[in-house]
Amino acid sequence: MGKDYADFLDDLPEEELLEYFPEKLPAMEDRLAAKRIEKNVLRGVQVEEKCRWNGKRIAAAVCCFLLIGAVGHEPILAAFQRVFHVLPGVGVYINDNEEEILEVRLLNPVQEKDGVRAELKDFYCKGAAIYGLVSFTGDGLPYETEKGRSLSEMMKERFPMTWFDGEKERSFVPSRGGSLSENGKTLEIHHTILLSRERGTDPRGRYEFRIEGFDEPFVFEVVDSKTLKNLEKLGYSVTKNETTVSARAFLREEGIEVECYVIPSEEVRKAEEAWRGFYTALYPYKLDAENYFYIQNADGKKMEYIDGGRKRLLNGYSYMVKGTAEDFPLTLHRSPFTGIDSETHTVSLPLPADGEILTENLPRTEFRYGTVEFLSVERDDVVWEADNEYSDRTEDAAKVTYTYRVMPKEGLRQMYGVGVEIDAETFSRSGEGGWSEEAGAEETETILLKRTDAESIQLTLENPSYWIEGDYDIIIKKPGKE
Amino acid sequence: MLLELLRKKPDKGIRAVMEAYMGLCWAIVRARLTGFPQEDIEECVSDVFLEVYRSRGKIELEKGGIQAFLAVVARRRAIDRYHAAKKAETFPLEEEPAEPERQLALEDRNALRDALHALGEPDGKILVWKYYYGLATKEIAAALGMKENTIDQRARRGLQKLRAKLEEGGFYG
Repeated sequence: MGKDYADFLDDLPEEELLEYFPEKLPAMEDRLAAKRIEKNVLRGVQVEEKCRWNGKRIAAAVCCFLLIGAVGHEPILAAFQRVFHVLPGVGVYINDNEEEILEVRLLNPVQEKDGVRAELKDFYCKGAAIYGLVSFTGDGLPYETEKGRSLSEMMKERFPMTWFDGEKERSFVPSRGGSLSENGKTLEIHHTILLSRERGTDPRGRYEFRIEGFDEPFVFEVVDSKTLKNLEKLGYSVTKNETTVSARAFLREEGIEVECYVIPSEEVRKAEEAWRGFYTALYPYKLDAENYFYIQNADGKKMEYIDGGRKRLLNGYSYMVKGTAEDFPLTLHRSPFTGIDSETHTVSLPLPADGEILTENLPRTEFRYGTVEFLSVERDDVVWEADNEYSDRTEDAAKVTYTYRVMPKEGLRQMYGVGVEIDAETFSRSGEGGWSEEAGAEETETILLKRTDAESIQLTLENPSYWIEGDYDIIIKKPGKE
Repeated sequence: MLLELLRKKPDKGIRAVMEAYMGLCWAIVRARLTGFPQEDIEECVSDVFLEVYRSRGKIELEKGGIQAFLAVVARRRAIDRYHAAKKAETFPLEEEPAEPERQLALEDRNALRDALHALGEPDGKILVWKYYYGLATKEIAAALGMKENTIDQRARRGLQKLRAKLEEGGFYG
């Protein structure tokens, strides 16, 4: 009762909320959840700030990269977990420490009864939950709704689902929605399901999933992963610098489906962790988002995606491209991955007088895989106007614009970016950057500092990012002919 | 001050905001998304803090600052997610009339405020704490020095009274 009656509280305005603000705030007891949330938020902040600071060109590149890398509609984090922990046809379980990988093995995924075919697909674990897809097809499905009843209701009534986790029978909890589509003459219904267990419960075990009307339960097991070791057998692989990119292709009615998986080296995995943990953004090689990833046919022509062409897999990603058997062998190209180093340096950036520019005697810092050179520092003092963005600000500010570039050193690892932390009170930061092939990455940042008489400010240069040289070109032969 | 910190040093500020209000935000979202998977609640709470971060230049002190802003955003994002999930459970081929978004008129907000005030204390407080801020009965009982079953009784009765008052004014139903 309470919930429905309490819905009107949705409309409480801020002023009233403040009046009834709790005297003692509730504590966040689930510390692991709190850590995950914090990580998510800080990563989001990092991505936003990077996009904002680095100008349109880099922002576009990053966004393209993320879309290509994440490949899907799910949150980027989840997609990356799947890209980087690869298990085709089974599933991934990442516990709170992200140390374990488990598989969901579907023992009897298909059953047919009275003209209806039910299939469990793509089951995987995440946290204490098991996700999966139930697909119904066949002439025995209801094609038309009855008066006053939705198709959704009819399906739920006709095919109620339950699951058994070894201890007790539980109700089926639909989650993530469902979709209905006409697939030629066959009505196909997919339903994504969520089988929740209490957090902290070990998900290993045997499960039964029942759909009323079908004779047998669908059985699946959650077990330790063994497939990971055999990932190379998935398809065609190229390993460089201990990172493997694996791919395979299938001829489909509408074109060619190419699946791609990445098994990262420890170095690449840490960079991805740093990205997820907000420390840095990962950029496509040479900021060339157009050519960072593509598939080309035997004639060397880049293949065109169908309907957007990219879709997430549960544990990798796939691309549907226009093509036929004549296009083989295909080449899947992936440009170098990023690594992140822990090397950190503090530099003192001299501040010029108001209206002046300094271009000499500026810091130059050697990193293991590159050099950071400051090229100019400019200063203009600012007097706040009454209607400034931060209307409660009254102190005057100094607008400081500095330009630096990251010059890669010769070698396998080529530094292209660095994080800059400012040890001074700032009102805002903004900037733009670009990539020059001969000179490296050049960035300009403008910061609004609280007005100061100091002759310099301290900057910390940290989390240098670098590309690990070496393209991945995976030759994929025609299916069934290898 | 948190808002000051959030504006001056956004990265440090958002950490401090999360440290201070994670429990509150979690409670508000969870109260509205009862029965939802924990992953959904975590995503929703993350969205709330990101929105606070993005809106740091617009948060108005006179309207209650971060606390009130965060409470409103948390509730709204949870409602959005609730409705999105409900919508997603239906199949897209089915035509369903879209529910018009209700814009709460000023007089309705006043009616709601008046109805809440008319409940008196501590019933108004109990109601908002329990059904908006998501505080557990135990926490409310401890804060107000009352028994838990008393809190539940007052909350139920308070809701009934409030609904009756709002229905009289044509606000609810």
